[in-house]
Amino acid sequence: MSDSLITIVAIFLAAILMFVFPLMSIAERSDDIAELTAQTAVSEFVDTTRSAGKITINDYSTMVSALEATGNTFDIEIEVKVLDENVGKKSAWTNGTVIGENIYYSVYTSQIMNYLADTSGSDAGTYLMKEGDIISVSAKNSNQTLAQTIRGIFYSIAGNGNYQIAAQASGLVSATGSN
Amino acid sequence: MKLQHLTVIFAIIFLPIILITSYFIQRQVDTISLQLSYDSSLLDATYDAMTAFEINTANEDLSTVSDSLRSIIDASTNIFLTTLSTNLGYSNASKSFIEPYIPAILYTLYDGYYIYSPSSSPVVCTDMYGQTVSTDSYGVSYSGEVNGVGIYSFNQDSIEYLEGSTEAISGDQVDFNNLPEELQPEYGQLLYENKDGTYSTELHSNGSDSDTLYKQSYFLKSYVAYTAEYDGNSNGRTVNVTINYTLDNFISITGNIGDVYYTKSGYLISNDLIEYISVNGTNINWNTYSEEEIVNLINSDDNTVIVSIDNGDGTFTNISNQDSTDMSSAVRDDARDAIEYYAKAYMFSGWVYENLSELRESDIINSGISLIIDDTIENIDYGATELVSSLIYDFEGDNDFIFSQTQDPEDQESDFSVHKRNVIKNSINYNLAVAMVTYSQMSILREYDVPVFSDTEWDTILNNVSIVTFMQGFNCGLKYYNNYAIATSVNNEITVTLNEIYYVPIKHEADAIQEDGTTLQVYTDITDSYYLETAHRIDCNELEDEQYYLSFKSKEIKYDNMYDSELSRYTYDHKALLDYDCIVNSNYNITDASRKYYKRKWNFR
Repeated sequence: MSDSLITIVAIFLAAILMFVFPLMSIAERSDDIAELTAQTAVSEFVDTTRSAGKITINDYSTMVSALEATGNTFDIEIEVKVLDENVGKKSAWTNGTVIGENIYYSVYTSQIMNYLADTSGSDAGTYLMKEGDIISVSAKNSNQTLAQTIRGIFYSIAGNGNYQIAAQASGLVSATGSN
Repeated sequence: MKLQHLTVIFAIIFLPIILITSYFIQRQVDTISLQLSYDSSLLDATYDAMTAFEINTANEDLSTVSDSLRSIIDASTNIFLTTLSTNLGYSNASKSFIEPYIPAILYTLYDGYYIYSPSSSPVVCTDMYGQTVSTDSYGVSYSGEVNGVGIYSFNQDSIEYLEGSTEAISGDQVDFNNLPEELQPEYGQLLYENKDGTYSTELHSNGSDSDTLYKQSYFLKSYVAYTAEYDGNSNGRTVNVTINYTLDNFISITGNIGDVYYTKSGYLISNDLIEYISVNGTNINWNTYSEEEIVNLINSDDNTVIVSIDNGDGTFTNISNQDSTDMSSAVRDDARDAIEYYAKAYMFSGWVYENLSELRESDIINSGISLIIDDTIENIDYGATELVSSLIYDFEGDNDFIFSQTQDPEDQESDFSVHKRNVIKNSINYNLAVAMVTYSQMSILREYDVPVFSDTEWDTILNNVSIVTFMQGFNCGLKYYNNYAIATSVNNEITVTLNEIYYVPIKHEADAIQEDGTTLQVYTDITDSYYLETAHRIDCNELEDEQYYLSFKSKEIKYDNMYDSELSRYTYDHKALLDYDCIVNSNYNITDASRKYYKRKWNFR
């Protein structure tokens, strides 16, 4: 009786050791790779847009399809800090007060998506930026990955913002975009 | 079989598989992250190079002179290589270590471009002081003849120098009379090093040890202008001209039209942009005055020159060289630049449309490029001919007129603009391909690759002064790294784009009645006061109602460039934040097509 009990326990343990842990580690691994893919896609998007000075619907779609190729769904957040340059100049001969402090206005995903979704005119699907603006993009997975599910069996993490794959990139726009 | 056995067998089979797969995946992951870090290093180094270029052009009065520009670009490539090696974790003294991985650096400027790339050149024999050595110098002895080429040796130790001087006074020397008769013409000529350490005067390659030694060295190649040669007919005359294009609508035309040789340059504008130009009330034609005459007229206080510009929506904007108060759109004295621009452009464009309006795109002489392909690249076994011809746009069959009278050359879609872009792309693609082929000859181990730019990238390159850097061959995990980075500049001395001009409206404050009864309009003088005013970018709605503007370029702010270098002072010195509407909400949108013309009105050049 006790032998069979131990055998059953052993089989359970063996199953966990041989299947669940490898599966979990492979799932974690696959998330790592997905994260790297996401990071690559997001960095490429940021680099393309900041050197071109504009966000186009094409670049955006390229990033989205690269992200989706990981088999996950993503929340993508784009923020452009628009530079309001204080175009005053320092004077060498009046006083030493520095004038010319800059202000940034932020434009967020939904506003930018409006521009991208606009299909009329010469600026169809384009959001223009200028030199000095700052663009930052982040992508986080919104689904439950396999690793998250398995982990959830053993211990659960509560709360929002519970993501496994995250990628973030930002940069200074180096060119003023034009259509 | 017992369960334990099965378990062990399972483990024996699967453990190695899992290990190998995970090792392989790890390598892939490393490769991608390494590639990402290379990408960002390359991009950062390119930006640094561009910043160096901008700062140097902004602070150098002669930055548009080609020699001065050359040194600025040399400095910029140095910055690029230094930053790149620092970013990659090598010390910044490792420029020569990084160089072999850089096939080319391309600088596209206003009317042409530079390419910094490797070239192989023979090594010239020099003595310990770096002085070139020829067959009649001290230290040289004749050691025989191989395949009709004289072989010499050079012995530094045999030379004695005049004390305190670099002048050689004795040493081994070749006796002219001992040379075989067919080698006597070599006497006195420069010596080049051979692979086996001997020297010859002739560059030769017979597959032997005594072949000439070539060394890879990097240098900035000569400036290549965006030109094309045309051979055709227009308006009943034969045309044989070279046209030099620029990033904007400025062109230079040199060559024969009929029997006359012309050298002309100017801004090409649309045939119907200018409604009329009048001098003292009389309308003039494009050929009424010479360029010099019209400039004198505009700059004199006794003559009134008025340019009427078609806004495209049925309204007209008149600008006058006199400060006349009775005109609705009168502009102050500083408008003389604008009038000069329009008058000259009008005259030049009139001439172009009169003489070259029937010149076709297919009249371009492509053979220049294809001939060079045949001569230099065909024999190189890299599939280069195929590659180059796939990159070159073929104009044959394009029968559109280049200077069509019905189109606006400043429109990006016009035949002129499209043709210009194709000419520039051909030239850049061809020269880049040649640079890549030269590079690949030197690094036989790796396959070379000419990257193909996307349309967006071409747009970026052809609209601004830009730097394109290439990097390949770096060991990058499971593969070799191969990529390029583009940085563009808007704040330099060479070009100004419309988006980089800021406008501060000068407000109409009051009308003052003068003693003689005339009305004088008083405007806020913002040049002298510390006056807070909002600046606008082009196309902002706010600009529409104002009449007078002070305009200045963004680079003047960014690099604190002096406005008036003679007086060493800034003529504009006060705060002005950019208007919120025009930087955020409008996204520089041109919603109304007619406002495209509005842009030009204030486009003082």
